[in-house]
This record gives sequence, C-alpha cells and structure tokens, in this order.
Amino acid sequence: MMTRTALPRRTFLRGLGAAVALPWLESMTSAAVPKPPVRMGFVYVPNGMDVRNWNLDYEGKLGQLSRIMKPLEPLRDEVTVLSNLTHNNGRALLDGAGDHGRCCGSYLTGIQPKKSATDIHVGISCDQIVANAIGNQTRFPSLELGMEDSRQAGDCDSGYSCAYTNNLAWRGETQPLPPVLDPRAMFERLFGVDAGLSSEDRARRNRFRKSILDFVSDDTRKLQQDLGPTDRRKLDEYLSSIREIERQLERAEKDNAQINPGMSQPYGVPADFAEHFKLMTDMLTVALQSDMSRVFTFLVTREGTSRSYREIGIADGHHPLTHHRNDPALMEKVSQINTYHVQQFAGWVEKLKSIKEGDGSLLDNCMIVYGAGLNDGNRHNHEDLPTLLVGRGGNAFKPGRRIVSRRETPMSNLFLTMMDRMNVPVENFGDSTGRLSGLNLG
Amino acid sequence: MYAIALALSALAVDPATYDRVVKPLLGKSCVPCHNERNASGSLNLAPFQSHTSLAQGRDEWERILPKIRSGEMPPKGMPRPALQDVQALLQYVKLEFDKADALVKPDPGRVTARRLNRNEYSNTVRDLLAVDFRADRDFPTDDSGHGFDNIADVLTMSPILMEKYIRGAERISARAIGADPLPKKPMEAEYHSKDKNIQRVDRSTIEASHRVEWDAEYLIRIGLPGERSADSPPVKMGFWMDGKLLHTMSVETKPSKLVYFNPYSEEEFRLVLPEGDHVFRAGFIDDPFVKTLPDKEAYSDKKNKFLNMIKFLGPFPAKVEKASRKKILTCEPAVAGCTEKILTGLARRAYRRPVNKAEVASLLRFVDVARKEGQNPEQSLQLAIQAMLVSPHFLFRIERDPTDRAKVHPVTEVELASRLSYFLWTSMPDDELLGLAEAGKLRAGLDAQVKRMLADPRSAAFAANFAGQWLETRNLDSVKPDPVKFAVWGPELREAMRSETNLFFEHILRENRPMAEFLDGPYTFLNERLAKHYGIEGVTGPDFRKVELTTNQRGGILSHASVLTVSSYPTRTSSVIRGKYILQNVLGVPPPPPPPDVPPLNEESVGTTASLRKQMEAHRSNPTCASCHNRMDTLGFGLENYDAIGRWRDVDGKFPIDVSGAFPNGKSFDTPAKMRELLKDDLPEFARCLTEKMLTFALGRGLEKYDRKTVESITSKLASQGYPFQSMVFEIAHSLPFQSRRGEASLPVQKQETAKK
Amino acid sequence: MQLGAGKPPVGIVYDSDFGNRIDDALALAVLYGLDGKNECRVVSVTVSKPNLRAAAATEVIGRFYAGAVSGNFGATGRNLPVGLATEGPAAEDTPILRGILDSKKYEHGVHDLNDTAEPHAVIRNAFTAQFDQNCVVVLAGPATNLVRAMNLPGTKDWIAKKVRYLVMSDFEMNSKIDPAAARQLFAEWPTAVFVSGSELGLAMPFPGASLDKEFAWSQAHPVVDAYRAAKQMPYDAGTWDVTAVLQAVRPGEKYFKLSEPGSAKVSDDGRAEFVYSSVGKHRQFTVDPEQKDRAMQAMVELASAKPVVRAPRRPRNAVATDPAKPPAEKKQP
Repeated sequence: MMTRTALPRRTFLRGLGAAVALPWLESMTSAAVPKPPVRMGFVYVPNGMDVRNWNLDYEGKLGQLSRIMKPLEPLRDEVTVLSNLTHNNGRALLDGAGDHGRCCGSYLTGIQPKKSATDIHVGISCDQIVANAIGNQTRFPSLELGMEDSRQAGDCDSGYSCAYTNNLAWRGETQPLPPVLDPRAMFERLFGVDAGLSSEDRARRNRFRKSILDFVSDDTRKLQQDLGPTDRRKLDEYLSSIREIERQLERAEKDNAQINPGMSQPYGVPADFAEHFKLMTDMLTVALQSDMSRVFTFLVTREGTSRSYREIGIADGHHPLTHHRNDPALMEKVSQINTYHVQQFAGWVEKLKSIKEGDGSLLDNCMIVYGAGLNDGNRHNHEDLPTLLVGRGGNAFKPGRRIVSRRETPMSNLFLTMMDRMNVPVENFGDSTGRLSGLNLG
Repeated sequence: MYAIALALSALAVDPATYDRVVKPLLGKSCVPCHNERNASGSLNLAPFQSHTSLAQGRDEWERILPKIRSGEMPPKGMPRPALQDVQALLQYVKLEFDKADALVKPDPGRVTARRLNRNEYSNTVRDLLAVDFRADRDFPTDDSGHGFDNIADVLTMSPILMEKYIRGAERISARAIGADPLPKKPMEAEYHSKDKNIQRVDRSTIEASHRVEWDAEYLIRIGLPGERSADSPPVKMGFWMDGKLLHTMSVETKPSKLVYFNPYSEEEFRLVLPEGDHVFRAGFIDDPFVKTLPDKEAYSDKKNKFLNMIKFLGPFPAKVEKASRKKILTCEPAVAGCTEKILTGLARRAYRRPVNKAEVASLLRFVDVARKEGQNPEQSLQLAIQAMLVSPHFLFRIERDPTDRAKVHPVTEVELASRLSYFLWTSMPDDELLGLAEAGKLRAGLDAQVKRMLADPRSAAFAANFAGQWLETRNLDSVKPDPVKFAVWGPELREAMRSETNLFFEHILRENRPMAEFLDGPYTFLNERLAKHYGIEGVTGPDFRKVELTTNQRGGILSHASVLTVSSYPTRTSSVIRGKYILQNVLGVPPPPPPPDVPPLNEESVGTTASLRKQMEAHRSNPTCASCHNRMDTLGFGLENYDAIGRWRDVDGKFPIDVSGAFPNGKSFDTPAKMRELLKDDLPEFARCLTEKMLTFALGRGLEKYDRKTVESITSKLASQGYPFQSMVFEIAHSLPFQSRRGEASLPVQKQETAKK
Repeated sequence: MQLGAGKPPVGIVYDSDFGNRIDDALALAVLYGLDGKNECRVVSVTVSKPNLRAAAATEVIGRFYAGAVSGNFGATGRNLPVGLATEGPAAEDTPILRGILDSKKYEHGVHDLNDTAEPHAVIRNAFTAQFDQNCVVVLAGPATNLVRAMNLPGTKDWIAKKVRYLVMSDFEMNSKIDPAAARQLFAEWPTAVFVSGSELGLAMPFPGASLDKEFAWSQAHPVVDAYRAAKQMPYDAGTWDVTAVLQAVRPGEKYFKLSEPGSAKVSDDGRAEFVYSSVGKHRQFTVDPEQKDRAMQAMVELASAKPVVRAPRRPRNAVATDPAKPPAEKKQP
C-alpha cells in the first residue's frame, strides 16, 4: 500500500446518486497514484435461458443485441458477451439426473458436486479463493446475496443436497456460505444496528463481543481434544467462523467513521421482484463504493425455482415453464422472464456506471459475471453457458464485444483469468485448461 | 469382521435352493430385458442368477423386490410368472436376508456433533429463558437432507450464522433480564399510506412490518381519514400482530362535530409488545357498509371512513414483570453469591448436563468484566448469559466417545435425555428429565418419560416439525397458488389447512391409533373456513374440532388440502408430483430420477386442447418413460378430483375428471376413496416408510445398511399389533441406534469421491 | 460399480492426424461400423493435423453414420464436438480432404475454428463420462493431443481409472512426427499400451476393389470419395489405423499376434523402438498369417457397414439453436 497523506480510506460518506470523486486522486500529493481496487462479482440466474432469444449470430463488436439482452443495449460498450464456455462438471458424468443441483454446485467451483443428500462435498469457489487472499483488506472478505428462500421441505434435485442449490459461494469443500436474502438483514449487516448507540456504547459492546469470542474459542479448542475427527471438523467450521467475526470486529474498529448508506432501512422483504432486486443491489453498490468488500455473489432465485412472475403477468412457475415441450406460448414466457431479469440487472449496471471513481466509474473497476448455469433450460445442457462479463476490471478488459471461444472451453478458464486480475493468480482452478484468451488484457 | 459375516452368509445360502427358486424365474421373466447387451433401465440381471448376488447385490435386491412384489415388474405385456413362484422367491430371499442380517454385528451408527437448527434454537431459548425469539425470521435457512432439517452432517456453520448467533445472544440476554435502560425519549415510527411503507390488505385493513426494538409498552395510534353519513353506526376495529388479535375497540364513523378541511380522526391505545420483527394489521371487523361502495368511493374521505396510518410511540416501561425475569432471577443479583447460584443453574440447563466449578467460574469472569465497565449487577449477569448462548456447549449437541474410540457404546443417560427431548419436543430437556438422567434413572423409567413427554404440550413441536417435513406441509409457507384461479387462497385458509394436518397427526399419535388411519381414517379436524372449503356442512366457528366424515370424499392425509396444495403447481395440479409424493412419502419407494438419455416428450405440440390426463398419456406411450410413469401417474391421477388447492371437483375446465387406474397387481380403482382402500394393502410398506422417516428424524442422520435390522424389527413387532402409531415412538426410543453410538477411530475413512461405476 | 448396473459398450477415444493417409478415414468407418453393432461407442474424435478441414472431414464421417453432433454431451458420452489441434506440422490441404469436402455433398458444422474444441479438453472430458475400465484409446497419429490431455491436472488419475488400454498404430512413424510427445507417452501413460509397427499396415492391405462391391450400396459415401481421391485407383491401402481399431475393440478375436511384454521407447535422435522387458506394460501386435484372412474380411465388412438408424436422443429438428446446423449468413453488426 502506498503511503498517503490522503484522508483515511473509509471517510468518504457518499449517498447513492451523488457523483463524487474518490479521495484517492484528490488528496494525493505524491506522484504515484494508487488505483481504485478491482471488484469481482457473480450474478447468477437459474434454469438456463430460452436460447433462441439469447444467442447472437455475429462475433466482434456489439451492435444490435438479442431480445433478452436488449435492456443492456444502451450499455453495450460495457458488456462482453462470452460464448462456448462450458462446465463439464455440471454434466451427469454417470451420476444420472440432477442437472440443477450440479450446475449450481459446480458453477463457481468447477468441481462436480458429490451426489448425496447429506454428505455434501464439492470444492472451494473462486470468489472465496480471492476473498481468502485479499479479504483482510476490507471489512467483509466477501458478500453473499440472494433473493429466494430455500424450500422448506422435500428433496432438492434427484438426490443432490439442497445445499448445492441454496448456495453459490463455498468457503471449502463442505462449507457453503448462505446468502443473505432479506434487505433489512443486509442493511444491518453492512451499516450496523447501532443507530441508537453512542460511540462509547458501541466500543464497549465490541469489547464485550471480543472477550466472549476469546472465551468460546478457547472452550472449543479444549472440547475438540476429546472428540473424534468428524466432530472435530464440525467444530473447526465453528472456530473458523469465529475467527472471521473477530477479524471483522477489528476491521470495524478501524473504521473511524460511519458510512452513510444514503437510504433508509428497508422494512423487510418486498413482494415485488424489481423492488427486492433494487434494494439488494443499491446496498451492494454502497458496499463496493466504500470498499467494505471487493468480492460478491448474488444468487438471483434458485435453480429449479417455481417462482412465478406475476409482476410481468406470468402465473406459472419458472422451472415448469422451462420444460416447455416446445410449446411456443410457454417458450415465450420463458423469454419474458429472462428479459425481465436482464432488465433489472441493466438498471443496476447503469447505476454503477454513474458513480465516478478514479478517472472513470465504479463500473470500470468491476468485473461482474452475469450468467446462467444451464444453456437451454429445456435440454439441461452445460455447454455454451449464457455469460456476460460487465465492466473493465480496472482497465484490464476491453468490453463491447462478443468473444466466441472454442467449444468445450471450460468456464473455469474465465474464472482463472479473473483471479489473475484480482492479483490472486493460481495455477489451476476447477477443470481449467488455461487462461481465457481474447479478453484483451491491457 | 464383516468379511467373516459375508463368508458365513455365503455358506448359509444353499446354491441348490437358489437355483431352484430364484434362477429360473429371473432367467425366464427378467433377464430377457435386463442383460448385458440390453440393459433395460441400466439394470443387468445376469449376475443375479448366481446366489452370490444375495450378498454382493443386496442394495440392488432391495430395489428389485418391491417391484416384483407390487407386480410392477415384469411390465404389462410381458409374460408373468406364476403367483406361487413369485411368492416362493420373495419368501426365500427374505429368509436369506434375515439370516444375513442376524449375523451382522449390530451397529448403531454415529451422529456427528450437530448444531441446533432454527426451531431447536428458538424452542430452547424459550424453555431456558422464557424469551420468545424467532430464529426462523432471523437466521439463514438450515439446509436439509433426507427430507429433514435436523441432519447433523448437513447443518453447517458459516460466518454469517456466527454473526447472527452473537447478535441474537445480545438481544436475547437483554430481553431476558431487561436490565438495559430504555431510551429516555420515546421514539416514533410511522407507517403511512403516503410513504408506501404500508400495505392495503383490503378496503378496511392496512398492514405494516415493524421492528419492535424493546420488550416494552407502546402507544399505538391509528389514522382514520374520512367520514361516513350522519347515521352510520360505529364499527369494531381490530389490531393484530402476526395474525393474533391483540386489541379491539369501537370507532365512530359519523362526522365528528369538529371542523376539518379533510375529515380525519385518530384512535390510540397502549399495548405491551415483544421485541422482534412483526407484522401488524389494523382493520375493521364485520363492516358490511364498505362492501356497498363502488371502487372510486372506497378511499374518498367524503364517502367513507378508512385507515391510512399506524404509528408506534415508545418504548415505555411495562407495568408487568417479565416472565423471563421471574424465571431467571431466583434471587437478587446484587446480593453476594446470588449470581453464582443463578449461573450454575442456568449453565447446567443450557449445556444440558452437569457443569463443574471451573465452567461456572469462567462464566463468572464475564460478570467481573462487565462490572469493571460500570455495568450494574443485572447487566453483568446479562453478559454472562450472552457468553453462554454462544458457547459450543449450548449451540452443539455433543456426544462423547469413551477412550476406546471405535467401540459401540450406549450413550450416557444425560446424552439420552437430550436425544429424547429434541426428538419429542424439538427443545432442551426439562428439569425432570435432566434430573432423572443425572441420577442414572432415565433408562429405567424410559417408557414413563416418553409417555409424559408425548402428553406434554411441547410435543406439538414434534407434530409441526416431523409431520411438517414428512408431509411437506411446511411448504404451505412458500407455495403461491395463482390469485386469479384460486382467489379464495389466503393466510386464513392456509393456516386452517396446516392445522388440520397437524391436529390429525397429533391425534393419531396421542391416541395411539393404527397407522392405517393416516391412509383412510374416517374423520378429520375442521373449522368453519376449512369445512366450507371442503363443502362439509354443520361446522361453525374458527376453532378446530374433530369431525366424523359422512361421505368418503375425504379421508386420510391424501385428501387433506394441505397435502394436495403442496403437491401442485401454482396454476394447476400435477399427477407426476402427486404420484411422486405418494411413492416417496407413503410407500417409501421414491422413483429413480429420469435416466440420463430420456428423450423429451413427443414432438407433437401437446396443447391445452386435451385434458391433463390426455396430455400425460404421452409419458406412457414411450416405454422408456412408462416404466416409472405408469406407477407414478396412475397414483397422481387417482387424486385428480382434488384441484390445486384441494377442493373437490368433477370437471377440469370442460373435461370431466377421470381418476380411474389400476395398481400393478391388477386391482383397479375409479375413485380416490377406492384408491385409498387399495393403498392400505401396502400397509407394511407404509409402516416401513414411516418408521424409516421417523428414525431419521430421531437420529439426525440418514439410515445406512446396518439400520435395516432395526427398521425390520420395529415394523414386524408393530405389525402384530396392527401398527399402532404411538408405539412406534416407544420402539424407536428403545432401539439400538437411539440408545447407543459407535465411536470413531482416530484416523477417519477418507472421504472418497463417489465411486464412478 | 454396483452389481447389476448395466454398462454401455466400451467407449472409444479416437485421435488421429486425419487427412494424411486414407487409413485414418477407413479406421473411423470401421469404428462406426462396430458402434452400429453395439460393440463400442465412438465417444470423442480429435485431430492432430492443424487444418480446419481435417476436423470438418471427420465430422462429415461422424454425421454420415451417427447423425448431427449437437455437442450436447449426455451421460452415454456421445456428441462431443470434434477436437482440433492448432499447432503442429503438416497443416496443408490434402487430396483426401479435398475428396471429402470439395464436392459439398455432405453436411457438417465445422465452419470456424470455434466450431471445434481444444483437443485436450475434449479428451479429458470424454474420460470423465466413462464407466470405470470401460474406455479404450485409439491413437492413429502423433501423441501430441494425448500427452497434452495427460498433462492436465488430475487426468492421469482419470486415465488409470477409466481406460483399459491404449492402442497406437505405426508407432515408428507416429513417434517421428512428434518425438517428445511419444517419449512422454510411452514413459508416463498409466495403462497397458499396444503398439503396431509400420509393417503391419503393409502386410494387410485394404482391398480397393471392395469399393465397387461391398460399398456399392451407397450412392454417396465420404470414405469412398476419400479413398478414390487419395491416390490413383486402383490401389490397396495400408491399414495401420484399421488394424489398430480391430485390436482395440475386438481383442478377444485374436486377429494379431501379441508380443512378449516390453516398453516402447523413443531414443534421443527420435527413433522409436520396442524393447522387451519383463516389467514392461507395453506389447506389440503383429500380423498373424493364420488370422490374416479373417481379419481382412472383418475390416471390409465393418468399413462398409450401413449406418444404423437409432432413435434420436434429442430431436434433431426441435431447437433452432442446434449448433450443428450451419449458421445463417454471418452478419456484420
């Protein structure tokens, strides 16, 4: 980190919509300017797409976009359409049915999830690899958001544990990171429930928390000595979660100013999809802007969801619609849902673009993947996954194009390249065969 | 050890008998389709013509036998073997399996240390501290496995959950003791229709979600714009929290004598509200006038009086002492030695076992830490309670292994107490249970305790959690029937559906009724709303009562609206989902997932010009699909008389309902009642299914091969008594896996990748 | 594997430098002939000759026998896209390629490099979908693609688990084309390896006359066209790759003599030789005069077998986005 005479990093209190330059450049007196950090994120939509209305039939510079991508057309200079990326480990590979469980479990891990209702085992997700490496530079190593509560009863997909469809991020092979679904809970997590507390009270409360966490860590370690290996591993999850909270507490203390969220606390989960989406992404924007985290995942409804979209006049469930038996009326509804999702996403991308940061926008410093885990929701196929890469990754990518890779190119290659950009290079990830070329780094 | 058992069992199988009874039948009726070249359904039965398959292919046999027994295999159109030959095979194979099982060393399995799930956490906090904390509103969802959310291996821990635990502990301990001072100035929270943070439920009811920050008294003000005509009568207004009516009052609707530009009045009242996120409603009860208004006048303040605001002012100190304080503060914390006494008692109950002085001392340290920071004695006690609620001893149910780790050993009495209480109450052991266990007297008095626990009102949690997951009625919270097609759907109906099934379950449990009544009991539990839904007359009032059914239109769980709704789509029924439901939850033979190369449905556009049944016929015209869908769809069609929210119907749109079908053994039915009758023929399968599910729920792990013996012995014992349901609970409580545990040797078996075939 | 779980026929991973010699095409025809008889399944076809038309030609043959390659890779392991190396020697067009493609009689979906896949990705993915010990690799060219796949992390384990053995034709010549790859292959390939030498293909020439007899049923046959274009007719083609296929799929027929165990090795100057050794995992297979007629009869019968029509696993005309269909005019945005 460069030494700075600048304001401490945390003290930029900006509300949403107020375009203000970051203090990085303004307050620098030395010649070398630290660039704003790069953010990495993944927005996941389930049940594939109606690919007739997604696919583009040209390569290179983006012109007219397909029907489903249309809402992004005004922003097409920020968008890279990627084709032919494949997740071989989402395929059955002898395990029979369960494409929904598999495609979500393998999406960010590149590993085929173990087919079991209870013995969950997959791999660490790429966002967590980055979070582990750079997460200590921010208050939250990563943020996991979602919009849909999981099924309350019954199995999830043909023998695959619900853990694979409820979660996108995986801390380790057996430890998923559940997303926060409720905007109010997200608000409290980011901006604290301490509205009424004085800073003295807040400090005391944090001291109490720390001493409690010390106590329980000690207690747990003593307890573990008496236990067999499986039980010990379970308690390891507990210990590592405690360590994470302790670290966040320390981080929070260093924040010597309160961040102004620029919005009032949401009162719960909105029934309207667009409103829910906007609340979650508004808060995510502030979190990214104020560098509370640089890594996020957003599970926009779950694989196999039966959510209906009455907001756009569709009463049938999403998943049943995608098994349309080639009925054009049903396929039309699927296209409408896919477009509706992109529309919400486009609204958010526009907001990110409007926020100035460094000598560009916040969007310029982001690399956000908007993708589906399946290609055609009816065929449950795992090649040529619909994928968009939005943002420039801090001037690393040149968007505004469609890049067609060779068939069977692993999606993991894209993630490997993104991890490079986050300065967390790893040799291999998931089923990668190398880096993804053509994104035009530099 | 297992190898020896294997060898012994192999010796016990007489190849000659096998060759006489099994081999010819398989060879003639099965192997022609299921062989190496042509492995129908990915099954090659050629190896099964050897007696060694009994030992090596046990799992496959267990899948094959139900299909032979039910007559599903050989499929229609193939030559069927003689009935006595089939019986001979079934009896012989069962005999061999029993012999093999008898030789297997009893293995109770082991459950990993498991954290309390959301319901367990809420109930435990309630029983420990008398604080009502709704973990299911606050904590992330628990992942479930094998259909239940209390499976140890699936309950993972994450930093976000840890955050919730810490924050939850702070809130709970503060609420429990209430020592923190309330803010000096009362705060105001307003929910007004102009701010869009309030919802209109109907013309006379508004709803707002509000977080109550402290257990305290609040002044609640309701805004009522508008006025009605001068002769309008007053109307009753109600105020609900989370569906429960808290307050009613009479409100004048005629013009007041005061002068307003825009007529407006307010009503206010005080209520003690519990901390937490709640949904509040204010509305008129029994207001016929508003129904007479055209739309544009409903919110005209010259024509109507309606509601547009809820405001909360507070907190004010409540005048009644909290139940939690009464429970916890058995002495005055400022007095010497009191805090230690309180904490010793609380820790024992929180950790669900005796605690030693060192553990209490470590909790007392927190009292000191708080005192040093200037907190008063009660606040300091709060901090110690906070620490307790975050401790692994509270959050996890831990069972120790003796020094010889790999051995099978009975769980300790204290551990057994927790197993029992979380099984039957989804909560911590009470003092009686824990006391008996500490004195080593629990096992001796096990039956008496189980009896007491089932009679205790806390066992309603068992019904809600076990039945809610077995029958999937929990999904009533997430299903969304189309509001256009099913306008009658609403929270009242939903809760009524849930209550019917819970009460039905509880009845069969408490009265030890035969399990067959689940399938076809001639009674149910109704209130007026649900009775109207079913078209049953003579039931008035919102309370539930047992109703004897006079027709066979309803009977058993497969006619409960709850079950029928959760097994449907938002806009229509699904014979596949319902068929799968029956196979999975009633008969215990969940259909295998579709084969990997399943072709999509017939290319011809299957439109909406045919009835659902006709459309589904396509499933069965393709032999690859038919093998499973024959069974599944037939069962699902048997319920077609019930629409997607469980109402009876004789037509679906313009098509008459046709529920006729036949079971694989040839017996046919043409009404849902007849199908239920036939299902009772499969009572042994149902009992086994239910036993397996309840055992899974009780143990908190999936069942393995070595549990077969337990399931078998329970079901055969119950069979001789007519399958009484409550007795199953007792059997499980006495069973080997519930009473004992296998330890774990120091080196764990490597977690292997799923063995690729 | 569970007792009684039906396994599909053995899966073949076929890698060749298609387009240089006609026996690559004949071998592919024989493979599909065996596929039609359910004796094997052609799981993946990869090409080490870095010419797009070579990939297109293999796809032509594949479609001729088995329908469009949609790329929808189901659990039975069909329909992987063709893999094409992009580096290496001998990238020029050849008479065989011209013979198959220039007449435009046959359809294929390989119009662009992106319609093909990286060969090592395809080979690795093919392994992941096979049942244990239910896969055989046939190498009919240099070892370039196979070694690249083997070097991907974890693939050696897949090979050890899934592959029964590897059969390599004309190991002397194919080692010469890429000696480094051959060296690594022989040293590190985890399973048994069967190699044939140059003389085997010459000793059992494919009868060119059969084109007018056994192949006469077909009006338009890509392999026939290729054969006629490869050299001046009439001629009898060498059968290095064809014999390798027979050894791979029908080892039980004992068409060939098997040598004593040994190890194939590549010397520093690029020459390949077979060294006998009791601990070797490799064997050489050579002509067996007593079986020669039988083997040749099988070759002709299988190569000229008619394509077997199977029930489509996915309807071919359903989804307009079937990537196997030639795309509409490439538009400029």
